[in-house]
Amino acid sequence: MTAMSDLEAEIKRLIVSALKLEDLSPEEIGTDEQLFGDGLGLDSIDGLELGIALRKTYGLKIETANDELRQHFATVGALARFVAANREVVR
Amino acid sequence: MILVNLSELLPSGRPDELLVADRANAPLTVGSLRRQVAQGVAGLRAKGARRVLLATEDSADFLVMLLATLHAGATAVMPPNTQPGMLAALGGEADLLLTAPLRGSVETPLSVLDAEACRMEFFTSGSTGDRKRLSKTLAQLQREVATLEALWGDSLGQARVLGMVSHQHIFGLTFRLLWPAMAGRPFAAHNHFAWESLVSALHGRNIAVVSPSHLARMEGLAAVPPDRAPLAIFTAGAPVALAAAQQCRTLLGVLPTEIFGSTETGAIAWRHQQDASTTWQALPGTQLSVREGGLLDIRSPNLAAEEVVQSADRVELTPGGFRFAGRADRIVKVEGKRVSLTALEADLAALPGVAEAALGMRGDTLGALLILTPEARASLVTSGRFRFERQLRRTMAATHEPTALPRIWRFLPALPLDPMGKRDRLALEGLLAETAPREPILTALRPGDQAVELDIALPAMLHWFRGHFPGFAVLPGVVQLHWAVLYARRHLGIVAQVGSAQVKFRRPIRPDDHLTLALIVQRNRLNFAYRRGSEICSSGALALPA
Repeated sequence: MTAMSDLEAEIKRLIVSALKLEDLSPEEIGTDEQLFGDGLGLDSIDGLELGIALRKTYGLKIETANDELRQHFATVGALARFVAANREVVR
Repeated sequence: MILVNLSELLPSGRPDELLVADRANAPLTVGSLRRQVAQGVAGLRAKGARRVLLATEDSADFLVMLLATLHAGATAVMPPNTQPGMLAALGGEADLLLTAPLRGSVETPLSVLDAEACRMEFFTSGSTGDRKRLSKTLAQLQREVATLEALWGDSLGQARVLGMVSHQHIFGLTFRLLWPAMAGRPFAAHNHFAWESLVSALHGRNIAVVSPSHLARMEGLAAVPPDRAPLAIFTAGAPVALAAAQQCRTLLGVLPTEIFGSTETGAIAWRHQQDASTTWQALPGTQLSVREGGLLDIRSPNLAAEEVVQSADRVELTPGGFRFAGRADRIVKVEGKRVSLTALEADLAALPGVAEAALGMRGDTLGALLILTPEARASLVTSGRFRFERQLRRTMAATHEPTALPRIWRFLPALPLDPMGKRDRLALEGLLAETAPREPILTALRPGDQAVELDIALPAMLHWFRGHFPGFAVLPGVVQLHWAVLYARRHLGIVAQVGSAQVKFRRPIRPDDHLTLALIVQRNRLNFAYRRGSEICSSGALALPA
């Protein structure tokens, strides 16, 4: 496993635990699957919860324009690249 | 800048170059608003539209569409969201659906509107569960804005308004669009997607309009430097938790200004939650009283003259205001959105694949308990529970506020009933609280002489079905004995002993089975039998202490 696929797996686990998704296992989430809307089906409240989890877990302290942020949150793969580039080295 | 009524805004002396709405490609100025509304009026008149359904995510476009509708003498019909299903459901309410401003080469000259004659219609959930239509005049909304401006206008100056709540709701419409437009404060045409982007847009002279859901989810944000802190943060829909209000002050420098109100009443009270003793203060002109049952009655200049709104809010009056003590009907607030449990249950039960539906709360989270048809159960297995749930949510989101839909889902063979045959609320909430309950669902109880019969249903989520056996779940025999002992103690008051059992297991008991458990005391024994229809699954006898 590469570092990136480790991070992707970690983010999938984070999604399931942070959003308290009782009926989904992390392995069921596709790395390139759209997280919101017609893909996995997360909604705006899930997005807010995921935001908290990412800030707490990776110390992300970022201010980003609206459209860019949407793209970073689009898939697990995109999130992993975003986190890898912006995480604080605190863990 | 002097407050100008929306009814007079376009013919007024407001300068053409004044900014109305921030938008990346095409900022909306007073001049462009005038031109676009004039074209829109001509377009609507050409179509002969009398009732116009207005739906767009772009608040600048929305203002154009709203003003064009009113200047054309038509009624503005406001869907609570822009989901296609919602627009289809409300299609019969209007003769034209408008999702963008009408453009054209013809411009109709604009004169001052009669605000009392300009009508806007909103939809909300009524306590009986039907969708309730509420008609308001532009004059009512303008009076509300005048009250807000009198109270806070001086402290806000020419601040820019940005936010994360839709103008399709009355709170967003009033606070993000009408008030800024009337006061000459520019508003952002687009909502922010998350705190990170809203914070990046703060530059010190801002007003933020957000929901209680947003304020409850600020954890981990970096504090905004004082020179970039907003002047005010407005929120409405549900009370904000004290801790969330305080966290907002820590991170953004101000306590949220919480607005109490409803679509019927508009804003009626407000608070800055300094501490746990902070009460809601009535807005100037609003008169509050309490009727029988401790329920709040409201008179307000924002309402039609002489009108008294009898709310279902339980309150305790305090000097100048009140303390809120919850709702008195089956209306709950989910993420700040009003949800009629009665209506949502009926809508869930009407979904294809759903035979019966019940709703309950686990803390602040809404949960649904469903009985599926056999076909839907098969598709639940194929697609996996989570995706199946989200599919249900997507179907419901066409006609409901997506964030106010259930987040916990339970698929059951039956709904628990109390001895009177009514839905057992306590048992329902128990099923929402647990992911693997240890007792079956009780649907009937028939006491006899030294005997009792129970109808039970076994949900697949039962703890005892886990891993026993992989691929073919059956109810372990020892659990069958334990249940016999448990119900004998609970309903017959006797203590039987498992150790002394004589049992015959005939047929496996499986997830989703409906069973009858008969318990009969015979001399020093407790006889029990689990029946599925007419066939006996297991039976036996347990010794009773002498």
